[in-house]
Amino acid sequence: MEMKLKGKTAVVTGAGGRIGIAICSRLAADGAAVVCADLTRENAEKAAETIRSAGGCALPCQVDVTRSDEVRRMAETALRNFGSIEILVNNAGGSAGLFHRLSRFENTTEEIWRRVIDLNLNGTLCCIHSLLGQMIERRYGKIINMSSVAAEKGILDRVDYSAAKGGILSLTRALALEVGQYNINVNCISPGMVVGAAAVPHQGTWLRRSGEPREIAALAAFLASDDSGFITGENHTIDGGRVLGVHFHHRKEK
Amino acid sequence: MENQWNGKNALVTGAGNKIGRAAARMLASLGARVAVTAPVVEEAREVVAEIRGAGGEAIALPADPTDIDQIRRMVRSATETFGSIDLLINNAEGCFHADGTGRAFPESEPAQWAPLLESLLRGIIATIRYVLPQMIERRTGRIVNLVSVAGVAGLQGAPVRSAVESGIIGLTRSLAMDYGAYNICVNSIASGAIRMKSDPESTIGGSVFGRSGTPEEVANLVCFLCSAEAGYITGQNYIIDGGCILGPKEE
Repeated sequence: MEMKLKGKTAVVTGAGGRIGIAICSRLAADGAAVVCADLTRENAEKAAETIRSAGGCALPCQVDVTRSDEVRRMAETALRNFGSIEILVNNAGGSAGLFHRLSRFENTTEEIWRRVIDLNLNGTLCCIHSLLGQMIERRYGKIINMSSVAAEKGILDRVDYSAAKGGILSLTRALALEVGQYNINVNCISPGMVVGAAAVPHQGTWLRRSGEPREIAALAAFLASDDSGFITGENHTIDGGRVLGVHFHHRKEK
Repeated sequence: MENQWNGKNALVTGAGNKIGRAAARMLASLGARVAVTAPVVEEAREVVAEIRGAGGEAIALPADPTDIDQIRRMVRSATETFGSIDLLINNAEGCFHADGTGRAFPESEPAQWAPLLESLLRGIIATIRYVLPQMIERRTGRIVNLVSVAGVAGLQGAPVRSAVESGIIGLTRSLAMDYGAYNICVNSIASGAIRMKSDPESTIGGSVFGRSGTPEEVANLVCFLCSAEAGYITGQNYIIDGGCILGPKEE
Protein backbone atom coordinates (compact mmCIF):
# COMPACT_ATOMS: atom_id res chain seq x y z
CA MET A 1 0.00 0.00 0.00
CA GLU A 2 1.08 3.52 -0.71
CA MET A 3 2.25 5.17 2.52
CA LYS A 4 0.13 8.29 2.32
CA LEU A 5 0.84 9.42 5.89
CA LYS A 6 4.56 8.76 5.95
CA GLY A 7 6.42 11.27 8.11
CA LYS A 8 3.24 12.42 9.82
CA THR A 9 2.32 12.05 13.48
CA ALA A 10 -1.25 11.58 14.65
CA VAL A 11 -2.93 11.88 18.03
CA VAL A 12 -6.00 9.65 18.34
CA THR A 13 -8.15 9.94 21.46
CA GLY A 14 -10.39 7.14 22.62
CA ALA A 15 -7.70 4.95 21.08
CA GLY A 16 -8.65 1.76 22.86
CA GLY A 17 -12.27 1.58 21.69
CA ARG A 18 -13.42 -0.51 18.75
CA ILE A 19 -13.34 2.38 16.30
CA GLY A 20 -10.35 4.03 17.98
CA ILE A 21 -8.12 1.00 17.68
CA ALA A 22 -9.08 0.58 14.01
CA ILE A 23 -8.24 4.23 13.31
CA CYS A 24 -4.88 3.92 15.12
CA SER A 25 -4.00 0.79 13.17
CA ARG A 26 -5.00 2.26 9.84
CA LEU A 27 -3.13 5.55 10.31
CA ALA A 28 -0.05 3.58 11.36
CA ALA A 29 -0.41 1.23 8.39
CA ASP A 30 -0.46 4.32 6.16
CA GLY A 31 2.87 5.38 7.66
CA ALA A 32 1.97 7.72 10.52
CA ALA A 33 3.42 7.56 14.01
CA VAL A 34 0.45 7.43 16.37
CA VAL A 35 -0.04 8.73 19.88
CA CYS A 36 -2.68 6.37 21.26
CA ALA A 37 -4.55 8.37 23.88
CA ASP A 38 -7.14 6.76 26.09
CA LEU A 39 -8.82 7.24 29.44
CA THR A 40 -7.17 4.12 30.79
CA ARG A 41 -3.48 3.30 30.56
CA GLU A 42 -4.45 -0.28 29.75
CA ASN A 43 -6.49 0.72 26.67
CA ALA A 44 -3.84 3.15 25.47
CA GLU A 45 -1.23 0.41 25.68
CA LYS A 46 -3.49 -2.09 23.97
CA ALA A 47 -3.84 0.25 20.97
CA ALA A 48 -0.11 1.02 20.90
CA GLU A 49 0.74 -2.67 21.15
CA THR A 50 -1.58 -3.46 18.22
CA ILE A 51 0.33 -0.96 16.11
CA ARG A 52 3.77 -2.12 17.24
CA SER A 53 3.02 -5.76 16.64
CA ALA A 54 2.21 -4.81 13.04
CA GLY A 55 5.56 -3.04 12.76
CA GLY A 56 4.27 0.52 13.26
CA CYS A 57 5.33 3.35 15.52
CA ALA A 58 3.14 4.14 18.53
CA LEU A 59 3.19 5.91 21.86
CA PRO A 60 0.55 5.13 24.49
CA CYS A 61 -0.77 8.04 26.51
CA GLN A 62 -3.24 8.02 29.36
CA VAL A 63 -5.53 11.02 29.28
CA ASP A 64 -8.93 12.10 30.53
CA VAL A 65 -10.03 14.52 27.80
CA THR A 66 -12.38 16.28 30.22
CA ARG A 67 -9.37 17.47 32.24
CA SER A 68 -7.50 20.31 30.57
CA ASP A 69 -4.35 19.72 32.64
CA GLU A 70 -4.18 16.11 31.43
CA VAL A 71 -4.85 17.13 27.83
CA ARG A 72 -2.08 19.72 28.07
CA ARG A 73 0.25 17.04 29.35
CA MET A 74 -0.75 14.75 26.48
CA ALA A 75 0.08 17.46 23.96
CA GLU A 76 3.44 18.13 25.63
CA THR A 77 4.33 14.44 25.67
CA ALA A 78 3.33 14.04 22.03
CA LEU A 79 5.32 17.06 20.92
CA ARG A 80 8.34 16.13 23.03
CA ASN A 81 8.45 12.69 21.43
CA PHE A 82 7.61 13.56 17.84
CA GLY A 83 8.35 17.27 17.41
CA SER A 84 5.10 18.04 15.63
CA ILE A 85 1.56 16.71 15.39
CA GLU A 86 -0.03 16.92 11.96
CA ILE A 87 -3.18 14.87 12.54
CA LEU A 88 -5.65 14.97 15.42
CA VAL A 89 -8.53 12.51 15.56
CA ASN A 90 -10.98 13.40 18.31
CA ASN A 91 -12.53 10.01 18.75
CA ALA A 92 -13.07 9.96 22.53
CA GLY A 93 -16.72 10.24 23.40
CA GLY A 94 -19.89 8.40 24.12
CA SER A 95 -23.42 8.66 25.37
CA ALA A 96 -24.77 8.21 28.89
CA GLY A 97 -24.85 4.53 27.94
CA LEU A 98 -21.19 4.50 28.97
CA PHE A 99 -22.33 4.77 32.56
CA HIS A 100 -25.65 2.97 32.06
CA ARG A 101 -27.76 6.09 32.37
CA LEU A 102 -29.60 6.32 29.05
CA SER A 103 -33.07 7.72 29.54
CA ARG A 104 -35.71 10.10 28.29
CA PHE A 105 -34.56 13.63 28.95
CA GLU A 106 -37.41 14.18 31.41
CA ASN A 107 -35.86 11.50 33.61
CA THR A 108 -32.21 12.49 33.34
CA THR A 109 -30.24 14.65 35.74
CA GLU A 110 -28.03 17.64 35.33
CA GLU A 111 -25.06 15.62 36.48
CA ILE A 112 -25.56 13.17 33.59
CA TRP A 113 -25.95 15.72 30.83
CA ARG A 114 -22.99 17.73 32.09
CA ARG A 115 -20.83 14.61 31.97
CA VAL A 116 -21.96 13.79 28.42
CA ILE A 117 -21.43 17.35 27.14
CA ASP A 118 -18.08 17.48 28.91
CA LEU A 119 -16.76 14.24 27.48
CA ASN A 120 -17.86 14.85 23.89
CA LEU A 121 -17.94 18.58 23.32
CA ASN A 122 -15.52 20.07 25.85
CA GLY A 123 -13.14 17.14 25.40
CA THR A 124 -13.00 17.78 21.66
CA LEU A 125 -12.55 21.54 22.12
CA CYS A 126 -9.85 20.98 24.70
CA CYS A 127 -7.82 18.57 22.55
CA ILE A 128 -8.04 20.84 19.52
CA HIS A 129 -6.96 23.84 21.57
CA SER A 130 -3.94 21.98 22.91
CA LEU A 131 -2.57 21.18 19.43
CA LEU A 132 -3.89 23.94 17.19
CA GLY A 133 -1.16 26.48 17.92
CA GLN A 134 1.63 24.31 16.59
CA MET A 135 -0.48 23.40 13.54
CA ILE A 136 -0.99 27.10 12.77
CA GLU A 137 2.72 27.73 13.26
CA ARG A 138 3.62 24.98 10.80
CA ARG A 139 0.81 25.89 8.38
CA TYR A 140 -0.38 22.30 8.30
CA GLY A 141 -2.99 20.27 10.09
CA LYS A 142 -5.76 17.70 9.71
CA ILE A 143 -8.40 17.70 12.44
CA ILE A 144 -10.99 14.95 12.33
CA ASN A 145 -13.85 15.04 14.80
CA MET A 146 -16.21 12.21 15.52
CA SER A 147 -19.74 13.47 15.35
CA SER A 148 -22.71 11.15 15.00
CA VAL A 149 -25.89 10.71 13.04
CA ALA A 150 -27.38 11.99 16.33
CA ALA A 151 -26.12 15.46 15.39
CA GLU A 152 -28.31 15.91 12.35
CA LYS A 153 -31.11 13.48 13.14
CA GLY A 154 -31.32 13.08 16.91
CA ILE A 155 -31.46 9.77 18.77
CA LEU A 156 -33.96 8.77 21.44
CA ASP A 157 -32.72 8.71 25.03
CA ARG A 158 -29.67 10.70 23.98
CA VAL A 159 -30.79 14.32 24.01
CA ASP A 160 -27.54 15.34 25.71
CA TYR A 161 -25.40 13.27 23.37
CA SER A 162 -27.26 14.61 20.31
CA ALA A 163 -26.62 18.14 21.53
CA ALA A 164 -22.93 17.45 22.15
CA LYS A 165 -22.43 15.83 18.75
CA GLY A 166 -24.34 18.68 17.12
CA GLY A 167 -21.94 21.02 18.88
CA ILE A 168 -19.01 19.09 17.45
CA LEU A 169 -20.44 19.43 13.94
CA SER A 170 -20.95 23.16 14.39
CA LEU A 171 -17.51 23.77 15.85
CA THR A 172 -16.07 21.87 12.90
CA ARG A 173 -17.65 24.32 10.46
CA ALA A 174 -16.68 27.47 12.38
CA LEU A 175 -13.13 26.29 13.02
CA ALA A 176 -12.72 25.35 9.36
CA LEU A 177 -13.55 28.95 8.49
CA GLU A 178 -10.96 30.25 10.93
CA VAL A 179 -8.01 28.02 10.15
CA GLY A 180 -8.35 27.36 6.42
CA GLN A 181 -5.89 30.20 5.82
CA TYR A 182 -3.28 28.17 7.73
CA ASN A 183 -3.79 25.14 5.52
CA ILE A 184 -5.62 23.25 8.25
CA ASN A 185 -8.55 21.02 7.35
CA VAL A 186 -11.28 20.38 9.91
CA ASN A 187 -13.85 17.70 9.19
CA CYS A 188 -16.40 15.45 10.87
CA ILE A 189 -17.19 11.80 10.53
CA SER A 190 -20.67 10.70 11.57
CA PRO A 191 -20.73 6.94 11.93
CA GLY A 192 -23.95 5.01 12.19
CA MET A 193 -24.25 1.42 13.37
CA VAL A 194 -20.76 -0.06 13.76
CA VAL A 195 -20.39 -3.47 15.35
CA GLY A 196 -17.39 -5.61 16.24
CA ALA A 197 -14.64 -6.55 13.85
CA ALA A 198 -16.83 -7.83 11.04
CA ALA A 199 -20.09 -6.63 9.53
CA VAL A 200 -23.19 -8.42 10.75
CA PRO A 201 -26.63 -8.44 9.14
CA HIS A 202 -28.65 -5.49 10.31
CA GLN A 203 -32.15 -4.61 9.13
CA GLY A 204 -31.85 -0.99 10.24
CA THR A 205 -29.56 0.00 7.38
CA TRP A 206 -30.41 0.03 3.70
CA LEU A 207 -27.30 -2.00 3.00
CA ARG A 208 -28.72 -4.58 5.45
CA ARG A 209 -25.51 -4.82 7.43
CA SER A 210 -23.65 -3.02 10.17
CA GLY A 211 -20.43 -1.21 9.47
CA GLU A 212 -16.98 -2.41 10.41
CA PRO A 213 -14.55 -0.28 12.42
CA ARG A 214 -12.02 -0.57 9.60
CA GLU A 215 -14.50 1.17 7.28
CA ILE A 216 -14.68 4.18 9.59
CA ALA A 217 -10.89 4.05 9.82
CA ALA A 218 -10.54 4.13 6.03
CA LEU A 219 -12.63 7.31 5.91
CA ALA A 220 -10.53 8.84 8.71
CA ALA A 221 -7.35 7.93 6.82
CA PHE A 222 -8.69 9.54 3.65
CA LEU A 223 -9.53 12.73 5.54
CA ALA A 224 -6.09 12.66 7.22
CA SER A 225 -4.30 12.39 3.88
CA ASP A 226 -3.41 15.06 1.36
CA ASP A 227 -5.82 13.42 -1.10
CA SER A 228 -8.59 15.31 0.66
CA GLY A 229 -6.81 18.66 0.87
CA PHE A 230 -9.75 20.64 -0.53
CA ILE A 231 -12.36 19.16 1.80
CA THR A 232 -13.04 21.17 4.93
CA GLY A 233 -15.84 22.06 7.32
CA GLU A 234 -17.87 19.08 6.21
CA ASN A 235 -19.68 16.19 7.77
CA HIS A 236 -19.11 12.69 6.41
CA THR A 237 -21.89 10.34 7.34
CA ILE A 238 -21.04 6.66 7.06
CA ASP A 239 -24.00 4.61 8.16
CA GLY A 240 -25.14 2.27 5.41
CA GLY A 241 -27.90 4.76 4.67
CA ARG A 242 -29.52 4.31 8.06
CA VAL A 243 -30.69 7.88 8.47
CA LEU A 244 -32.08 8.30 4.96
CA GLY A 245 -35.71 8.75 4.24
CA VAL A 246 -38.88 9.84 5.91
CA HIS A 247 -39.80 7.93 9.04
CA PHE A 248 -43.22 7.36 10.51
CA HIS A 249 -42.77 7.69 14.24
CA HIS A 250 -46.41 8.08 15.11
CA ARG A 251 -47.97 4.82 16.15
CA LYS A 252 -51.69 4.34 15.97
CA GLU A 253 -53.42 3.81 19.26
CA LYS A 254 -54.68 0.33 19.74
CA MET B 1 -1.32 -7.31 -2.65
CA GLU B 2 -4.03 -7.81 -5.25
CA ASN B 3 -5.12 -4.61 -6.96
CA GLN B 4 -8.78 -4.09 -6.07
CA TRP B 5 -9.31 -2.09 -9.27
CA ASN B 6 -8.25 -4.81 -11.67
CA GLY B 7 -11.30 -6.28 -13.33
CA LYS B 8 -13.44 -3.30 -12.33
CA ASN B 9 -15.26 -1.54 -15.14
CA ALA B 10 -16.26 2.09 -14.92
CA LEU B 11 -18.55 4.24 -16.99
CA VAL B 12 -17.82 7.97 -16.73
CA THR B 13 -20.26 10.38 -18.35
CA GLY B 14 -19.63 14.02 -19.07
CA ALA B 15 -15.94 13.31 -19.42
CA GLY B 16 -15.52 16.28 -21.72
CA ASN B 17 -15.22 18.54 -18.71
CA LYS B 18 -12.25 18.72 -16.39
CA ILE B 19 -13.74 16.85 -13.46
CA GLY B 20 -15.14 14.00 -15.54
CA ARG B 21 -11.85 13.77 -17.37
CA ALA B 22 -9.82 13.69 -14.15
CA ALA B 23 -12.09 11.00 -12.68
CA ALA B 24 -11.82 8.85 -15.81
CA ARG B 25 -8.04 9.19 -15.90
CA MET B 26 -7.58 8.43 -12.23
CA LEU B 27 -9.81 5.36 -12.26
CA ALA B 28 -7.89 4.09 -15.28
CA SER B 29 -4.53 4.80 -13.68
CA LEU B 30 -5.57 2.75 -10.65
CA GLY B 31 -6.34 -0.20 -12.91
CA ALA B 32 -10.02 0.01 -13.83
CA ARG B 33 -11.24 -0.17 -17.42
CA VAL B 34 -13.12 2.98 -18.28
CA ALA B 35 -15.84 3.75 -20.79
CA VAL B 36 -15.68 7.47 -21.38
CA THR B 37 -18.65 9.34 -22.75
CA ALA B 38 -19.31 12.90 -23.78
CA PRO B 39 -21.98 14.58 -25.88
CA VAL B 40 -19.23 15.40 -28.36
CA VAL B 41 -17.53 12.05 -28.92
CA GLU B 42 -14.24 13.71 -29.98
CA GLU B 43 -13.86 14.96 -26.43
CA ALA B 44 -14.30 11.45 -25.10
CA ARG B 45 -11.76 10.19 -27.65
CA GLU B 46 -9.22 12.72 -26.41
CA VAL B 47 -9.58 11.42 -22.86
CA VAL B 48 -9.29 7.84 -24.09
CA ALA B 49 -6.12 8.71 -25.98
CA GLU B 50 -4.65 10.21 -22.80
CA ILE B 51 -5.58 7.12 -20.80
CA ARG B 52 -4.13 4.73 -23.38
CA GLY B 53 -1.02 6.87 -23.66
CA ALA B 54 -0.52 6.33 -19.92
CA GLY B 55 -0.96 2.59 -20.32
CA GLY B 56 -4.59 2.37 -19.26
CA GLU B 57 -7.61 0.74 -20.87
CA ALA B 58 -10.50 2.83 -22.12
CA ILE B 59 -13.11 3.20 -24.83
CA ALA B 60 -14.94 6.29 -26.06
CA LEU B 61 -18.68 6.36 -26.61
CA PRO B 62 -21.01 9.13 -27.72
CA ALA B 63 -23.76 10.10 -25.31
CA ASP B 64 -25.93 13.03 -26.11
CA PRO B 65 -27.97 13.49 -22.93
CA THR B 66 -30.97 14.73 -24.90
CA ASP B 67 -31.13 11.45 -26.78
CA ILE B 68 -32.43 8.73 -24.46
CA ASP B 69 -32.10 6.08 -27.18
CA GLN B 70 -28.46 6.94 -27.58
CA ILE B 71 -27.92 6.70 -23.81
CA ARG B 72 -29.50 3.23 -23.83
CA ARG B 73 -27.28 2.17 -26.72
CA MET B 74 -24.24 3.67 -25.01
CA VAL B 75 -24.88 1.71 -21.81
CA ARG B 76 -25.49 -1.51 -23.76
CA SER B 77 -22.34 -0.99 -25.78
CA ALA B 78 -20.19 -0.34 -22.67
CA THR B 79 -21.67 -3.37 -20.91
CA GLU B 80 -21.10 -5.64 -23.92
CA THR B 81 -17.53 -4.45 -24.43
CA PHE B 82 -16.50 -4.84 -20.79
CA GLY B 83 -18.91 -7.55 -19.67
CA SER B 84 -20.26 -5.43 -16.82
CA ILE B 85 -20.32 -1.96 -15.34
CA ASP B 86 -19.23 -1.88 -11.69
CA LEU B 87 -18.77 1.84 -11.25
CA LEU B 88 -20.95 4.56 -12.74
CA ILE B 89 -19.75 8.15 -12.48
CA ASN B 90 -22.29 10.72 -13.66
CA ASN B 91 -20.76 14.08 -14.13
CA ALA B 92 -23.29 16.87 -13.83
CA GLU B 93 -20.92 19.46 -12.46
CA GLY B 94 -19.74 22.37 -14.47
CA CYS B 95 -21.57 21.40 -17.63
CA PHE B 96 -23.48 24.62 -17.57
CA HIS B 97 -22.38 27.60 -15.59
CA ALA B 98 -25.64 29.46 -15.69
CA ASP B 99 -29.25 28.83 -16.44
CA GLY B 100 -29.21 29.63 -20.08
CA THR B 101 -28.40 32.58 -22.19
CA GLY B 102 -27.73 34.86 -19.30
CA ARG B 103 -31.13 36.48 -19.41
CA ALA B 104 -32.79 37.18 -16.06
CA PHE B 105 -35.04 34.39 -14.87
CA PRO B 106 -38.34 36.33 -15.14
CA GLU B 107 -37.50 36.99 -18.79
CA SER B 108 -36.32 33.49 -19.62
CA GLU B 109 -38.07 31.09 -21.97
CA PRO B 110 -38.75 27.44 -21.13
CA ALA B 111 -36.53 26.45 -24.03
CA GLN B 112 -33.57 27.90 -22.14
CA TRP B 113 -34.16 25.51 -19.25
CA ALA B 114 -34.14 22.53 -21.55
CA PRO B 115 -30.38 21.91 -21.48
CA LEU B 116 -30.54 21.60 -17.71
CA LEU B 117 -33.87 19.90 -17.15
CA GLU B 118 -34.13 17.73 -20.19
CA SER B 119 -30.49 17.02 -20.82
CA LEU B 120 -28.68 17.07 -17.54
CA LEU B 121 -31.32 15.80 -15.12
CA ARG B 122 -33.18 13.52 -17.52
CA GLY B 123 -29.92 12.25 -19.01
CA ILE B 124 -28.55 11.24 -15.62
CA ILE B 125 -31.79 9.59 -14.55
CA ALA B 126 -31.79 7.66 -17.83
CA THR B 127 -28.15 6.59 -17.52
CA ILE B 128 -28.74 5.20 -14.04
CA ARG B 129 -31.97 3.57 -15.19
CA TYR B 130 -30.15 1.59 -17.88
CA VAL B 131 -27.06 0.74 -15.83
CA LEU B 132 -28.91 -0.44 -12.71
CA PRO B 133 -30.41 -3.76 -13.91
CA GLN B 134 -27.05 -5.46 -14.40
CA MET B 135 -25.79 -4.08 -11.05
CA ILE B 136 -28.90 -5.49 -9.36
CA GLU B 137 -28.41 -8.81 -11.09
CA ARG B 138 -24.78 -9.01 -10.00
CA ARG B 139 -25.54 -7.70 -6.49
CA THR B 140 -22.78 -5.10 -6.65
CA GLY B 141 -22.29 -1.57 -7.83
CA ARG B 142 -21.20 1.94 -7.03
CA ILE B 143 -22.82 5.04 -8.41
CA VAL B 144 -21.29 8.46 -7.84
CA ASN B 145 -23.11 11.54 -9.07
CA LEU B 146 -20.99 14.64 -9.45
CA VAL B 147 -22.94 17.79 -8.77
CA SER B 148 -22.28 21.37 -7.80
CA VAL B 149 -22.59 23.01 -4.39
CA ALA B 150 -25.28 25.06 -6.15
CA GLY B 151 -27.50 22.14 -5.25
CA VAL B 152 -26.64 22.46 -1.56
CA ALA B 153 -26.35 26.18 -0.97
CA GLY B 154 -28.06 27.67 -4.01
CA LEU B 155 -26.25 29.65 -6.66
CA GLN B 156 -27.17 33.25 -7.25
CA GLY B 157 -28.51 33.85 -10.74
CA ALA B 158 -28.91 30.16 -11.44
CA PRO B 159 -32.23 28.97 -10.00
CA VAL B 160 -32.84 26.23 -12.54
CA ARG B 161 -29.34 24.87 -12.28
CA SER B 162 -29.58 24.91 -8.47
CA ALA B 163 -32.86 22.98 -8.75
CA VAL B 164 -31.31 20.38 -11.04
CA GLU B 165 -28.26 19.88 -8.82
CA SER B 166 -30.52 19.48 -5.76
CA GLY B 167 -32.63 17.11 -7.81
CA ILE B 168 -29.68 14.84 -8.38
CA ILE B 169 -28.91 14.83 -4.65
CA GLY B 170 -32.51 13.75 -3.95
CA LEU B 171 -32.27 11.09 -6.64
CA THR B 172 -29.10 9.82 -4.99
CA ARG B 173 -30.72 9.42 -1.57
CA SER B 174 -33.80 7.67 -2.88
CA LEU B 175 -31.83 5.22 -5.02
CA ALA B 176 -29.54 4.44 -2.08
CA MET B 177 -32.55 3.24 -0.08
CA ASP B 178 -34.09 1.25 -2.91
CA TYR B 179 -30.96 -0.63 -4.00
CA GLY B 180 -28.89 -0.88 -0.81
CA ALA B 181 -30.14 -4.42 -0.34
CA TYR B 182 -28.42 -5.31 -3.62
CA ASN B 183 -25.10 -4.03 -2.29
CA ILE B 184 -25.26 -0.98 -4.51
CA CYS B 185 -23.96 2.24 -2.96
CA VAL B 186 -25.21 5.51 -4.42
CA ASN B 187 -23.58 8.78 -3.38
CA SER B 188 -23.09 12.25 -4.70
CA ILE B 189 -20.19 14.66 -4.52
CA ALA B 190 -20.96 18.35 -4.53
CA SER B 191 -17.96 20.36 -5.59
CA GLY B 192 -17.31 24.05 -5.57
CA ALA B 193 -14.48 26.48 -6.22
CA ILE B 194 -12.79 23.97 -8.53
CA ARG B 195 -10.49 25.30 -11.21
CA MET B 196 -11.95 24.22 -14.54
CA LYS B 197 -9.44 25.89 -16.83
CA SER B 198 -6.06 24.45 -17.72
CA ASP B 199 -4.30 27.62 -16.73
CA PRO B 200 -2.82 26.91 -13.28
CA GLU B 201 -2.86 30.63 -12.56
CA SER B 202 -6.61 30.89 -12.98
CA THR B 203 -8.37 30.77 -9.69
CA ILE B 204 -11.93 30.76 -8.46
CA GLY B 205 -12.58 32.60 -5.23
CA GLY B 206 -14.48 31.38 -2.24
CA SER B 207 -12.38 28.74 -0.54
CA VAL B 208 -11.00 29.26 2.94
CA PHE B 209 -7.59 28.08 1.72
CA GLY B 210 -7.04 31.05 -0.60
CA ARG B 211 -6.76 28.73 -3.57
CA SER B 212 -9.13 26.90 -5.83
CA GLY B 213 -9.40 23.14 -5.87
CA THR B 214 -8.30 20.96 -8.74
CA PRO B 215 -10.30 18.43 -10.74
CA GLU B 216 -7.80 15.82 -9.50
CA GLU B 217 -8.81 16.54 -5.91
CA VAL B 218 -12.43 15.80 -6.81
CA ALA B 219 -11.23 12.66 -8.60
CA ASN B 220 -9.49 11.56 -5.37
CA LEU B 221 -12.85 11.63 -3.63
CA VAL B 222 -14.54 9.82 -6.53
CA CYS B 223 -11.95 7.06 -6.29
CA PHE B 224 -12.31 6.85 -2.51
CA LEU B 225 -16.09 6.41 -2.81
CA CYS B 226 -15.56 3.77 -5.50
CA SER B 227 -12.97 1.89 -3.45
CA ALA B 228 -13.67 -1.39 -1.71
CA GLU B 229 -13.22 0.17 1.71
CA ALA B 230 -15.96 2.79 1.21
CA GLY B 231 -18.70 0.16 1.02
CA TYR B 232 -20.59 1.36 4.10
CA ILE B 233 -21.14 4.84 2.70
CA THR B 234 -24.41 5.26 0.83
CA GLY B 235 -27.03 7.91 0.21
CA GLN B 236 -24.59 10.64 1.16
CA ASN B 237 -23.62 13.90 -0.43
CA TYR B 238 -19.97 14.60 0.30
CA ILE B 239 -18.94 18.19 -0.26
CA ILE B 240 -15.57 19.26 -1.61
CA ASP B 241 -15.46 23.00 -1.92
CA GLY B 242 -12.64 24.34 0.21
CA GLY B 243 -15.28 25.51 2.67
CA CYS B 244 -16.92 27.94 0.26
CA ILE B 245 -20.43 27.21 1.53
CA LEU B 246 -19.44 27.83 5.16
CA GLY B 247 -20.32 30.97 7.05
CA PRO B 248 -22.48 33.95 6.22
CA LYS B 249 -21.74 36.12 3.21
CA GLU B 250 -18.89 38.53 3.84
CA GLU B 251 -19.26 42.11 2.76
